[in-house]
Amino acid sequence: MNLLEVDDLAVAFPTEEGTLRAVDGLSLTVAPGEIVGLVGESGCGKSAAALALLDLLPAPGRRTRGRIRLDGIDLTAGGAKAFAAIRGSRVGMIFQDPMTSLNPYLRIGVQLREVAERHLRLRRRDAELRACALLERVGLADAEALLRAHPHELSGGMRQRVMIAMALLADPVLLLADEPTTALDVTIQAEILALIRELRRERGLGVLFISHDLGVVAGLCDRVVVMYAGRAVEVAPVAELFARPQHPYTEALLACVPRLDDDPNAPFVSIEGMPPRLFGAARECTFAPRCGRRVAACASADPELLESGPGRLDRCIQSEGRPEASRGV
Amino acid sequence: MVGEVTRGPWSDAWSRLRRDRAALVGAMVLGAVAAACFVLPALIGLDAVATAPGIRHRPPDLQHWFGTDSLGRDLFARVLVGGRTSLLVGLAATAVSVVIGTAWGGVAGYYAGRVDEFMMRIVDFLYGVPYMFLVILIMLLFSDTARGDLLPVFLALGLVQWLTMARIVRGEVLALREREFVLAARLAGAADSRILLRHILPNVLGPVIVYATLTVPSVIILESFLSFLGLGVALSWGELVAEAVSVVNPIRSYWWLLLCPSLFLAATLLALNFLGDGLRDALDPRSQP
Repeated sequence: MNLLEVDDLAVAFPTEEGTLRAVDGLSLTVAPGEIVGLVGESGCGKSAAALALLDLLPAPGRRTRGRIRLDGIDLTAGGAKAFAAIRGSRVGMIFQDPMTSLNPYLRIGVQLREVAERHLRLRRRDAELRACALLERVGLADAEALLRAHPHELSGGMRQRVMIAMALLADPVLLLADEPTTALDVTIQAEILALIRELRRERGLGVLFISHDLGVVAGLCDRVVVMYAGRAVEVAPVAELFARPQHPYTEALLACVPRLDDDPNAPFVSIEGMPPRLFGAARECTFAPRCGRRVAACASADPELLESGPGRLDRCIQSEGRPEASRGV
Repeated sequence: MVGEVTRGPWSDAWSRLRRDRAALVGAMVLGAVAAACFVLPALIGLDAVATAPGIRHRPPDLQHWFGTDSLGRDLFARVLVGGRTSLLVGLAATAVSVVIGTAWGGVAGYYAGRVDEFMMRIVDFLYGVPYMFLVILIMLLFSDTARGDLLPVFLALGLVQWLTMARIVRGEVLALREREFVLAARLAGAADSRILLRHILPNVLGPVIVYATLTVPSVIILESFLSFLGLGVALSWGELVAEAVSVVNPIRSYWWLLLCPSLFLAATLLALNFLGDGLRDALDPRSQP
């Protein structure tokens, strides 16, 4: 059974220009012990989706549609209480910027203890011991001294380890990682990724790893969900996605990754234009305006996410494995 | 890095403050004035109310350092005792304004949206009302029952001073609530009240303290102005200046009556401003420790 099942999730932000649909029909699953990558460019709704999973959307954003199930339990049916019951305990989360995700005025120990005291109902000393154990588990030496430190005394990598320890404190089954390595330099990034891999193996932790870095995703994830304009445009096992991308957006993203054997004088490849800001209902393929392979049929309907091979789904009418009836060519 | 001595943002601020000469001098002047006002009169047996018709309007001499007033009272004693009122009013009214302003701005900023709109429109409205009018109104409401009591003064002045504080705190909280550590606190299962008090408030304390040190002088001036208008309730620097002005005449000048309390007032205000400036720099986490 899947650990996390998200079905047709939609998030809307009321703005002065109208209702912005940041996430618009995202479906995905994460199995226990599976690392699923959620990739896409900035503004495609990755973070909004992750926050919606924990009912942490910043006002005035709200979930307008969709079902979220954790371990078979429908959180969306249970309302705010159901989310509060799993937030930080069954599901941990780590954020992009370890500089801002720890409170600069509170000692590390206070911030870690709070989690253990609230979620595990531990007393102060037991909470501290548990915090120490977790700090050591994520590779931080001298945990007792760290508890007394303030965040600014730690390096970025150490802070991100503290965040991971904090997320794991209540023994979650699922970890949401929102670009956890983006703000770190490459060597630290590699260490953090290795740590996430280890924790997955050790605890059977399911991980939803949000990133715009395809290199990181290729090395870490089992499966990848490519997101564009608020929903999945392609879902595939990681090796297949990189070997045979089906959706032109995935293809374009892959083409943007610079390679060492590229001609050093060639200009960087980028995708022309910006992701659409979704106000009205889509009447054509949302990627069509930027697509190099667009045909007349692309403008006539918004393609569905359909199976195009074993374990593969995509949203392009020209993809190879797509059932004949819905192919546009 | 993580050594024996863990240095927090507060101890960094303290070490920056210690190296700021102007702020240190300001703090020392304040300390000296406060000590003189509260301790000295009792210590050397000064009497601020004993009248002596024989020695009216004496200029400063060895007996009466600041001279005497129109009733022969010792001006040195009166300046020191009057300083108690001025300092107390400054601190207490500032405390009132800090408590109300921080709570009001904190709640408005944290809940944002409609709550914020509503609460800040009230602040805007109160800004529009002439503050002197408000102060006089509040003083008149309380003056019948509590003549001579300082509490109505604290309240009246605090109640007109919290508006800017509320705006400052609201702006800070509005920015802080979007920070990821607030999300992390919600993940830790903290309730709204705990997030606001434990996680957000320490982060706004810097600006609050700084603005508070700038509020103290403006409250002291306001109180002096009230006394000057005849609305004061106790002996204060403002009242002494008012008395001095009332005996100004073209024939004889009693310059010491005006100069001595004014000097104390000016020195205190200047010291507070230096200290406030120093605190602002010291509490800015962007400046180097």
